[in-house]
Amino acid sequence: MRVCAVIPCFQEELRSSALEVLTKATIVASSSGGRVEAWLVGPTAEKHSSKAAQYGAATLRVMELEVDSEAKGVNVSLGRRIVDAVDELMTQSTAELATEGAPQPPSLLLFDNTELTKDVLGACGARLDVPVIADVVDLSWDGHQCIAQRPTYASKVMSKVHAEGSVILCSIRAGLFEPDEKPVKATTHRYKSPQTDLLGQVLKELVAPEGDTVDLTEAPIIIGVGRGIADETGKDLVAKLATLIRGEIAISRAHFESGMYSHTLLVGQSGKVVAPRLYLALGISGSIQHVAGMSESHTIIAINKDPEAPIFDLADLGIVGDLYQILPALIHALESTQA
Amino acid sequence: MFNIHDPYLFEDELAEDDRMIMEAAREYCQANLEPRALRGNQDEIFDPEIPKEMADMGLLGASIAEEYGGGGASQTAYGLIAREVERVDSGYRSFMSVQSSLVMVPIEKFGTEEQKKQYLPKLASAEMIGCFGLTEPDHGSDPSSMVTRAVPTDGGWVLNGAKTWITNSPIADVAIVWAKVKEEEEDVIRGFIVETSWKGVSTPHIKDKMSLRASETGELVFQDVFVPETHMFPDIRGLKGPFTCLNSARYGIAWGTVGAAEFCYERSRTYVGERKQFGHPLAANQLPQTKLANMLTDITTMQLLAWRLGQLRDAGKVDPAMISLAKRHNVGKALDIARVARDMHGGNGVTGDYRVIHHVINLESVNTYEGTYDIHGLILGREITGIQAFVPKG
Amino acid sequence: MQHARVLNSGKIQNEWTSIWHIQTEAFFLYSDMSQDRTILVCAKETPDTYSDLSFSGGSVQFSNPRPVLNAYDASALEEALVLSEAHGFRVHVVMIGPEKASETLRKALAMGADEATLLTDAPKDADSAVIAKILAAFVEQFGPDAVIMGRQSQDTDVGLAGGMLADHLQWPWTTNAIGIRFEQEAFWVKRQGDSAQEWIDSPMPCLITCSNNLNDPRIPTLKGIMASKKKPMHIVAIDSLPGGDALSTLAPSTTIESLTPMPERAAGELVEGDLETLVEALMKGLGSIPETGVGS
Ligand SMILES: Cc1cc2nc3c(=O)[nH]c(=O)nc-3n(C[C@H](O)[C@H](O)[C@H](O)COP(=O)(O)OP(=O)(O)OC[C@H]3O[C@@H](n4cnc5c(N)ncnc54)[C@H](O)[C@@H]3O)c2cc1C
Ligand SMILES: Cc1cc2nc3c(=O)[nH]c(=O)nc-3n(C[C@H](O)[C@H](O)[C@H](O)COP(=O)(O)OP(=O)(O)OC[C@H]3O[C@@H](n4cnc5c(N)ncnc54)[C@H](O)[C@@H]3O)c2cc1C
Repeated sequence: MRVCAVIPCFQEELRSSALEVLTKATIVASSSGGRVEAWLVGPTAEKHSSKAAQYGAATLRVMELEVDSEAKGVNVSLGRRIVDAVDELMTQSTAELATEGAPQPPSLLLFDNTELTKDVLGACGARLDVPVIADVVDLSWDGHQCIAQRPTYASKVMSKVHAEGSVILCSIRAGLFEPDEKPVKATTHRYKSPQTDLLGQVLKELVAPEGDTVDLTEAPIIIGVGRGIADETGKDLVAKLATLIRGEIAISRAHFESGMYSHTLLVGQSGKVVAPRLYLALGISGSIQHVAGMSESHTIIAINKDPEAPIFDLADLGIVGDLYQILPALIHALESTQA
Repeated sequence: MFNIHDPYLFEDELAEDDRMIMEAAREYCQANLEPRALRGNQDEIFDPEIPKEMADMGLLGASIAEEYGGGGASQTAYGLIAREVERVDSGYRSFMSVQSSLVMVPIEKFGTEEQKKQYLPKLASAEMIGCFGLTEPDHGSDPSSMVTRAVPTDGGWVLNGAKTWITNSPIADVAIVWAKVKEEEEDVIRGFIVETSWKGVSTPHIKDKMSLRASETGELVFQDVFVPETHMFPDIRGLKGPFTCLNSARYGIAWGTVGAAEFCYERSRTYVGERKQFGHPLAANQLPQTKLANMLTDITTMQLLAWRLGQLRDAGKVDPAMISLAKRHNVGKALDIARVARDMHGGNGVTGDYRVIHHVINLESVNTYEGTYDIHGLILGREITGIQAFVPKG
Repeated sequence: MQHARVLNSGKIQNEWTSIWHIQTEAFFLYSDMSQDRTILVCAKETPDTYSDLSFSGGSVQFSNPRPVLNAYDASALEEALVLSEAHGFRVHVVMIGPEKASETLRKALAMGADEATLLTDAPKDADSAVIAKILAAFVEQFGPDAVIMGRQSQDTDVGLAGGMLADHLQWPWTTNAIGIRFEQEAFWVKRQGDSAQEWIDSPMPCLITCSNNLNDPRIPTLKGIMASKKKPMHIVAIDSLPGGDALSTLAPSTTIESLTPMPERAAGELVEGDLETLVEALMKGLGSIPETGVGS
């Protein structure tokens, strides 16, 4: 039995979501009596393999992948390469394990829940023809059956999903627990990447707006900016505040529309799901689609001029008032304590 | 499961077309009208974009024939649209009703082929806005004693007189005007299509309305206005003309007020659920609960009346008294519900933000126009007893 | 085996049904597909998950009893319509669902799609894998130039069907589109990634999944609704698709065992008052979180 953390490696640093997946893999493996593998796929795969061993993977399967050079380190395109890679790793590793005398070991493949995973998870499932459970917050596995908890109905309901088979794929929601270091001695297997037919697809252009380098899912302090911040004056106030409290900026869909911020910063049902130490919601009403992306935050503080705003139903601290009065005063107070 | 918005599930009984039209209208009204409602009322703004938007959605002349640019939808669909528009503001519904029922309906029913071709498509697309002039300063509930008069002249008529309380008149391009004409020594009411740009027509705005503030209201003043023969309705004579239009509009009101009442009920339900006093939500007290129970019971009767009336109109089996019954009942109940909702909101009930007082004050107009509550009572009374009581016989 | 039939009345149906009677072996035929290139939009009906939710006996109920068109699919359809207006694609919508889902599918026709197919009698509790296999069979038969669909469904938020379908078809795919252009006979898709966006160029045929941030889907107009009655809607039993017998008995690979309410966060303190009070409360709140550096 093996629990395999599938880790796409396209960046200089490993995402903390990848480490969380490794940690989850070790937990599941120890309760099911399986081994932990890390499947590192991508241009920076080799580089990250030692880190995977530090987080409990005793078997490292490394596949260097070529991608469009400009895509390196920022993002990834053309998920077909990853699907082919996962398929190939599955075939090869199964063959190796069979020669070692253990045919077809039951395998649980764990992914993080980034856009990159969302791009490829379905296709991987179809390619391997195995069950897939996406966006899981908790799971148990006994080598055959997998029982997973996943939020559904815009995160208002928890659904318990059951799947069985010798291979099962799951993606794990980020930010729910701390990655836990657990160094092991690892053996490394290296694989040649398969020839992927891109079927004529080409990456034309990478648009990386300013501020797009942060990974919101890793930020401890997030300032969520909603329609209540309506202009450049407000944006400047938010930027000042962010520096003072070491926060990263996220947005509601209102600012997807306003164009004042990068689209990457969207939090919610159709954006990122985050669970920071602090989510400071500024002028966000608290629509269920937004809340779906931040309700797991450890602490929520909300500022809104409407005392009935639904965001106050889940805020640990709610401040009723006009942001354009509160923010300057707050910034002033912060500056004077820090001076 | 008990549906607290539609307890007797009348929406399930609707034809698929009608339900789809209802949902589309609801989506439009909530997305585009609701955000304008508060400011529209406070600042007396009827956003000039609204007619065009409604036209693009197909909400003007919904049940007028498609060949004249109408929607070809059922009477029920027209009513369901009124309900959605009035859920936001009776003023917006007034605009829609006047354009559709009081202007497009008479042109379609009584107009010549040329009149229909000339005006209906433009009214449906909101290239033209229409109004309906029946009421006069001294003749409201009793229009038969009107004094506006047309006298024959070369190639047409000369119109003199004044109409008041005319919804849309300050923004109208065309007015349906009812005036007296001498025919064989008798005064007969005839209908005319008058363009407001013609010489001698003026449309002063009525200022300082405290109700339906987002709807334009004005006068229609005619000073020796020449109306070409081609602009008279050829055959319709007497009060049957205006009353046909009013029946259509009153039917729309029977539906519209369902929307206003539902809004007030829904706001109250949410408010008492959230507002805490004496350590508990207001909703945990018996009085608010029974108030909500009364509201929902009344709303259910209103829904069922309006829905059945729609069926009867679609089946061509409607008698005007049926419409009087529903108009009177539904406006009266909506007004009661809005007043109770206002009360349940405490101090917040008088602010614009919650918009319940907005409905209270709007519904005061709706209670009066298109035949007052009491006048419809007298219409029913006459049907029931066979004795007319409009003219006192004391 | 149930035969395909057309719901809508009028001329098209008559022509269509007569063709049908002659060629009962073809699983169905479409009116005028001769020249136009076609975008196929896959759409799903979901409960109105944004209305109030309540639990009764382990199942979830919504205050709006009527299902809706999945918001993400509505964005896909909107984009297909925009592309069709600019480049003359025919837009066909396919939905897997019970017969009564025809009302939701009609909404797609009312928005402006040209034609629709409802695939009925899906296996019980079909999951994404089953749905993708059925759609693959349909797409292979139908042969559109592109498939555009929502990136996830608003009720389950699973988001697997698009990738699965693409892999079955062996078509290039792009997920999470926030912009689509059609240029030089190819689809240019702006994909929102974890960070940054990519413009990806795919030749036809290809598959695109859409973010709801791509556009605001149009509201059907009254004229659109009335016109939708005259547009063809084909109702096809899944077992009459090629390979249909196997499709209609597919077992889901994942099953939902239970649904439970998510534990709700309790509302905390609500502070109202003068500016000083508010700022003081905020300073205290921020100070209690070490990572802000405010307390130290
Ligand atoms: C399928 C679907 C998916 C969606 N996905 C997402 C998603 O992923 N993420 C997302 O965010 N949304 C999403 N939405 C949109 C969502 O429904 C809301 O429209 C959106 O979240 C609203 O953003 P907001 O709270 O900033 O704006 P609003 O709801 O307009 O709220 C603005 C708030 O600011 C307050 N305010 C205004 N001015 C001030 C001031 N001066 N001082 C203090 N407070 C002020 C107001 O009181 C109000 O509460 C989705 C919608 C759909 C249909
Ligand atoms: C906002 C608004 C918009 C309007 N828009 C239009 C329009 O577009 N076109 C148009 O032609 N008109 C319009 N009207 C006019 C409306 O139809 C009249 O106001 C209505 O018919 C009542 O007439 P009145 O105001 O002259 O009141 P009156 O007829 O003077 O009635 C005053 C009171 O006396 C009662 N009453 C009257 N007669 C009797 C009786 N016999 N027995 C017992 N009680 C009686 C009434 O019920 C009422 O309570 C509008 C009115 C308002 C307020």
